[in-house]
Amino acid sequence: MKSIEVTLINSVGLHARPAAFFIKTAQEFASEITIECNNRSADGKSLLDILTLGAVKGTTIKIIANGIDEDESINKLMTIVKDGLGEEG
Amino acid sequence: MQQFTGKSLTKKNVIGPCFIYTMDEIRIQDKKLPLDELKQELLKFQSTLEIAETQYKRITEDFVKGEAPEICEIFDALKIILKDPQFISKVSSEIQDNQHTAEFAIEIVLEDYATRIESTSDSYLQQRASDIRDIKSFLLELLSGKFTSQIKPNSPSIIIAKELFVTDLARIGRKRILGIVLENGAFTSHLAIVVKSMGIPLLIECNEILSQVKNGTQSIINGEEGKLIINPTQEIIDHIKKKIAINSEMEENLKQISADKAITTDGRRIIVAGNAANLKEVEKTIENGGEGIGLFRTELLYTELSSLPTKESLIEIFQKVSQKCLPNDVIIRTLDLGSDKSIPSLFMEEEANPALGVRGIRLTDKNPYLIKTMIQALILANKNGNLKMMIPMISLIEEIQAINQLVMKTKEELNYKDELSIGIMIETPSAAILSDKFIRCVDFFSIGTNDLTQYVMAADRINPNVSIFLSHFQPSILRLIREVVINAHKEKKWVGICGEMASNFASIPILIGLGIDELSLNTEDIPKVKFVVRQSNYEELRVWVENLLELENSSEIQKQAQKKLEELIEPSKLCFF
Repeated sequence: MKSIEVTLINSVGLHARPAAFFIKTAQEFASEITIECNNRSADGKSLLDILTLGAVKGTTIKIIANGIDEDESINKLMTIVKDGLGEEG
Repeated sequence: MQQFTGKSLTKKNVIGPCFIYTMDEIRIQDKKLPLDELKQELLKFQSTLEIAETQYKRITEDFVKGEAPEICEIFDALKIILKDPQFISKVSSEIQDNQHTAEFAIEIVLEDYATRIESTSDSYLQQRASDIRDIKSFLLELLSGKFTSQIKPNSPSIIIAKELFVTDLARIGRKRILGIVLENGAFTSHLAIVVKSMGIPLLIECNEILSQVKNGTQSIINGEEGKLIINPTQEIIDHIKKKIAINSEMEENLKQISADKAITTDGRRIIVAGNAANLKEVEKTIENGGEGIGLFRTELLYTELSSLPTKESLIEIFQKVSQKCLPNDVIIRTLDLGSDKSIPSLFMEEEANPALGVRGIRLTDKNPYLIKTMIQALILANKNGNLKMMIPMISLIEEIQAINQLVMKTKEELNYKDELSIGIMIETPSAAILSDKFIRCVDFFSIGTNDLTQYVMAADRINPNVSIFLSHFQPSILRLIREVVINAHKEKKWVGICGEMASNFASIPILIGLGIDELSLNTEDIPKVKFVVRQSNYEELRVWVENLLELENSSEIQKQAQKKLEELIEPSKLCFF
């Protein structure tokens, strides 16, 4: 199991579009992906779950990966969060 | 005649018959299924999801055709819910473990998600609950067998409903929607976003309207006053019809103008460009007819990251902006930060007066790698040759000389042979007063009127007690601008304006008369500013401004400028300015 903490820097946090981008990336991996924040946890491959986290800009989230490609998945997910989840500019 | 008050999304008016949009309420029974039917029920759920996907695609595909990408994404996000792994597994286990029907399982699972999302602290996120209810009612309708893909009025109508989802819009069809009136509704909903993008008038929070309106009744949405008028008098109908006609004429006019160049009646061309800080704003500028970007702010590239952006990431964004603006130019302003707007990755001392402290060029002088990286990125990104560089907060001639040297050195290092056009912001009194000297070191000036006014008037931009000093019509500022323009034109170089003054319509005749060559402003005002330019006569305004600058106080100048604007524009169209 691998985990990492990362802060949301995109302008709206984990909302519809950025969240959709996140799950799309998470679904590319075989590992189980979990996000923890605000004392809640969510399935990183479920848009519905992620929306219930209420993770706004500036929130620090913990991404946990468990499975055969956990290293690869956590690196990729960390990068896309740091890059602003598909929000340009 | 009857009137109902609500809140209007836009100022648009529309006349048409009402159409009451109601859905049959679907009753969901919670009956425990016998164990031997559970397998059957699971299959039913799975096949419903499949049907839902096909139906959803069929309904929405036509509707979103040709719409902006963000509108298509809203509909795509709804489709994602149909495939959501947690949704599918939770509904399946409600059926399997608790012996619920598929309908009841969907109801409790999605309603639970909607409620939890509503209870988050973020108002934008709360609105996403309605997307989930949208998909929920879509699925339940399919399961109930009552589903009809289109519920439609026979002719274009004003749709009246308690609440409306984006899927409903697609089911009604764009052509049949003249306007929408809702008992509930919210401007932050996806519905409002879609409706706004499609130019449909929307009135929300119109209380108890459903019980008082009948299908087919003639009605008016008055967007300016936020009202729904039922059975209006002929007089009101005529009045609104006239307004609608003027509006659509002006809209057509502005659309036409946005694609044209801004040329005065006596043939002087003024470049009208946009201010932007990201790619989206660049795209909007181009859409609105902006001739390139007159001010690309780079601060966001720094403040939104926890570490400094790499040269590569700067090159990438500069290249994208350059490509989008071809054949027009993009003026990239180097980092304009100060201790009031600092970034975590850069140590800045606290200052008593940040506006008079280490900011703009002064900051990058202290941290040379910042400006060096930016110059490298600009040079390497300038494959199209349409990128220019602009330095903020210049007050000493040595500052620009050092920059010129650094650019020359960097060009040599990178073996770059072409020219890189360099300009400075005129925002300190020193730069304005010494503009005859500065212009020999640069290719252009861009006047930042907000800061220039703050420094010339010695009045803090963020202190409301001194706001009267900050008028765009201060004679001292206008005279200073005149000097700057004269000095630049003597050297055959150009001067732009990138402050708020360029978005103030009454200022435009003054700026044209002063000989300004370029206006860079907020993107939505570009067509209107072009409109004013096209109504103006440069020679006439030049003489007029000379007399105007003899006036002593800003309120008198403002009055005269407003009068001039009113002379230039037809009275019926003045309400747009």
